[in-house]
Amino acid sequence: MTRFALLLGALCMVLAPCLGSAQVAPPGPGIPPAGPGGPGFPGTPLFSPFQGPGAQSYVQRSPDEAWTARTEARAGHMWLAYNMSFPYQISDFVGNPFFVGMDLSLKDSNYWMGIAILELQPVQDFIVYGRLGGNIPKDSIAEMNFTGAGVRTPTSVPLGAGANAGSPWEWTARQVFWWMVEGGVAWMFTRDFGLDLGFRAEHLEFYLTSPRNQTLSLNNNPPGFAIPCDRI
Amino acid sequence: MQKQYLPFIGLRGLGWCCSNLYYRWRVIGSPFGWTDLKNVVGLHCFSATQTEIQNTLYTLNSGAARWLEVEGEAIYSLTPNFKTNFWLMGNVFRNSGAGNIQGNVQGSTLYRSQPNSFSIDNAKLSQSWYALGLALELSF
Repeated sequence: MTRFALLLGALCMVLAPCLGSAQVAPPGPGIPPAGPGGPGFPGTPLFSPFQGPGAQSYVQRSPDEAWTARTEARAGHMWLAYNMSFPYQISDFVGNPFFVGMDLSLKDSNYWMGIAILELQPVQDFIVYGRLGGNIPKDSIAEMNFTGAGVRTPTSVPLGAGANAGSPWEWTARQVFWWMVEGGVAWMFTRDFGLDLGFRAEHLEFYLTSPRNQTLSLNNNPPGFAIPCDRI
Repeated sequence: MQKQYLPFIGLRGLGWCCSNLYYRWRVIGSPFGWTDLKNVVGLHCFSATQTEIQNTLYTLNSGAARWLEVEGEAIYSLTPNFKTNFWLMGNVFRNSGAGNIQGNVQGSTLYRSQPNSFSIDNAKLSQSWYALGLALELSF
């Protein structure tokens, strides 16, 4: 909660200086003044996507205004589900199927995140926009499931390997970091509806460390591998 | 580590609820997209009786991704140019295709693994997230 408050506070600090620079369209030809008592805002801004039912279009601006813009800063919480599945088969030294697949999933994967949005309107009814977002990196838990004779479940008979050969394994997914960048254009074909075309790139990374499977480890150590495992 | 490259098409809209309160929505998606996944899973473990040192590289490069994202916002106008929003987003991504596994084994007394490299036809990657929060909006 403290992080969220700090993030929101930072956003307020970034946007606060802009509050005093809000432009109000002077009444004049081409710009009808906002009607008192109507759904539109009093003192209609040069760019306001939300004019209410009385507005004439999605965006409204002065004829002599070349560009209009909308900025938005989002802060919130995200819940991420992730699964990677590689079914395959590896035989052991006598030809028996050893591994027949590996699944990797993230558990308890939730993060504070933010998205910044900038929308520009260079011409009437067209909007060019960009978005940049990401989360605050945080540790999570990854569960790795191997299947095949090379691993044993908690109820199966060990195959001669140590207790740590059991599946699933839990890992610490260190510093799970997601970000995205997006750009696009929108064509407002009516006052309230538009068509979007764009491109997004997303990135996700984390490091698996500290494997453990909650069974007794080798050499009667405490649960977990209890043996040095480098950062992966 | 993975990267996703997603061209998309979608619709957006807005509506008016009541005094100073509006909503906005957007739905975007793609029937195709590219994934570049490289995940290294390494075991660097050893004890007095066992040694398990191996690195396995899982890769998936596929252009068969499908993706959909939905978002909505409720917007309250504080001033004509300054608004505060409550927003929701949801996102689903699926990809499958040919993957590759490359195992580099330096020592394996536990699994008795051998160095290997092979391709598989049906590697899968799925990812989804949803999020909610507050926003500040400025137009000028």
